Amino acid sequence: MQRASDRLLAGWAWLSGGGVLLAVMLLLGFLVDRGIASIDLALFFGDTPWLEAALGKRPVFGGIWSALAGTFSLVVLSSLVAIPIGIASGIYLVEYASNRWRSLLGFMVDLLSGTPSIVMGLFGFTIILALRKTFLPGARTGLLLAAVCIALLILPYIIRTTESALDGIPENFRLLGPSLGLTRWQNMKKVLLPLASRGILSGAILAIGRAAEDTAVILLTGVVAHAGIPWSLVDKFEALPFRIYYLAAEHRNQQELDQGFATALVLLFLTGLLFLSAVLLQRGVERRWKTR
Amino acid sequence: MIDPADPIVAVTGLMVRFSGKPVLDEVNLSLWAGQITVIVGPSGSGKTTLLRSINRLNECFPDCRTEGSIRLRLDGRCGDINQDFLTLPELRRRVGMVFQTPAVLPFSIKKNLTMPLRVTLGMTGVALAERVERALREVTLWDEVKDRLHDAAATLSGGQQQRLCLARVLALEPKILLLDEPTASLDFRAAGRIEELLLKLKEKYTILAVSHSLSETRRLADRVCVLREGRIVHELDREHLQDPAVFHRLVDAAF
Repeated sequence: MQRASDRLLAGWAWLSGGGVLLAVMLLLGFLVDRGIASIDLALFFGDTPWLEAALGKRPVFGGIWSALAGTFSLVVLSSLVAIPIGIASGIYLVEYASNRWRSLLGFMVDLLSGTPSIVMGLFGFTIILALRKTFLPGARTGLLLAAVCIALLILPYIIRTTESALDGIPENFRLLGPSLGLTRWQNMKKVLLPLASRGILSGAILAIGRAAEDTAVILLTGVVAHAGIPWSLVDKFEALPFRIYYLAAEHRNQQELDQGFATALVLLFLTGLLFLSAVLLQRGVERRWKTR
Repeated sequence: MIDPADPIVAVTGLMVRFSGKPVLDEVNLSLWAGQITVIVGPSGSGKTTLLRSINRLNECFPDCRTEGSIRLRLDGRCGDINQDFLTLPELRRRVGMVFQTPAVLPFSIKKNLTMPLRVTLGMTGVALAERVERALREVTLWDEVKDRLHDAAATLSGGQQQRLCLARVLALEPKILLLDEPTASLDFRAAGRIEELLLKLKEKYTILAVSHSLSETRRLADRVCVLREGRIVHELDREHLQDPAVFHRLVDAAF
């Protein structure tokens, strides 16, 4: 009986793991099948000469170059806001908060992670309206507002992964720093964070992915169809997920729909590149931690 | 006036509670230079808590309350560690601690030793290198690792890792060593090397150790304190340790 249930459980585990792999392969295969043929210079730059378009000297109409620049700026900016705050919040919850504060703040973080992204977008939009009516009549939606709202959206992922990575450190390592005369902050910086860095990285990767794919927040906070490359923090911008949504909903012919699939592939590739940079950054920091 | 015959550590009326629950109750204990004092007792009797009281490590846990006095005699000065005799970082440098499982950080062998020296004492350059070499020699690890100081510390064997942990503590130049079952996770050969080392180190340091092995306790201890339910119920000296049958009977009775 025990053997049969063991086998059943093992079979279920294999099936589930294989199922996930299969789903990812099918998704990728489908996207490649429908989109790869449309990936060319025209997809990125439309009719504009590519060098002038890439340097932002001439506006791009009909290509995704501006959307690529918009999504890249949005992900980098929101990560720059969310990652330091998220890690610091995770540290606070594990190391400094009393039990009561920790459960209260933990509840707030859960609440934040359960907030639908459209609500986060509305929140950003309301902030701009409030600013316009009070001391900033010129305030308008744009890259910075969208990045802050996206940062709010991805913050819970980073807080929770930092918290669980730090919580998972065994007691003898947790006590090691203090036992050697390190202060609380020195222990955090020199012992606990290096030990937790891989766990924190997984949170950052999750957050980057979420920031790159969200459409609802940016729809209300600064994305427009033909904004061009954003050159300042208050500029309107284009974004790849919005472009995909737009092409899927309003394509006029098969070619435009295929461009939508190609754009989805580009978004996947961009996200993959950002993941890779996060991994390389973490490895670099880890190498420095280990030797110097 | 400090009398050289005074103990290095004098614990008086020590009570430790976690979340109101008493773990140590009216513990009195003295440690003298040149001696290894071993604490034995059943699980949950408060051995590790007693050890962690001497370097105030219990304070890392929430809801810990300590009462009583722990007086230290260091470099001609004497004071109560619970009355701010030393700052916490200084106290913990002077009262070094080694854990049951070798706690090597996922760094190189060298960085495991240099990190605390750099961070707590700001040491660099030649002074730092000399301190590292001296500590490694003191634990007889220098010849084994001198050519691979940049390798990951995790590549060392369990016994070597524990000696590295000991070296890391010795590099900070402590006066007192607290050892929490330092050989519990090692095979008998590696444990034997650590025992040999401790017998050598006791000439220079005051050592308080926790052990779960009665035979090891007999080999190492100058004095044995039996702890039960947070109280020291028996103290045995060298004389009691000579005859294994008598020693086992006394400890059995105390358990």
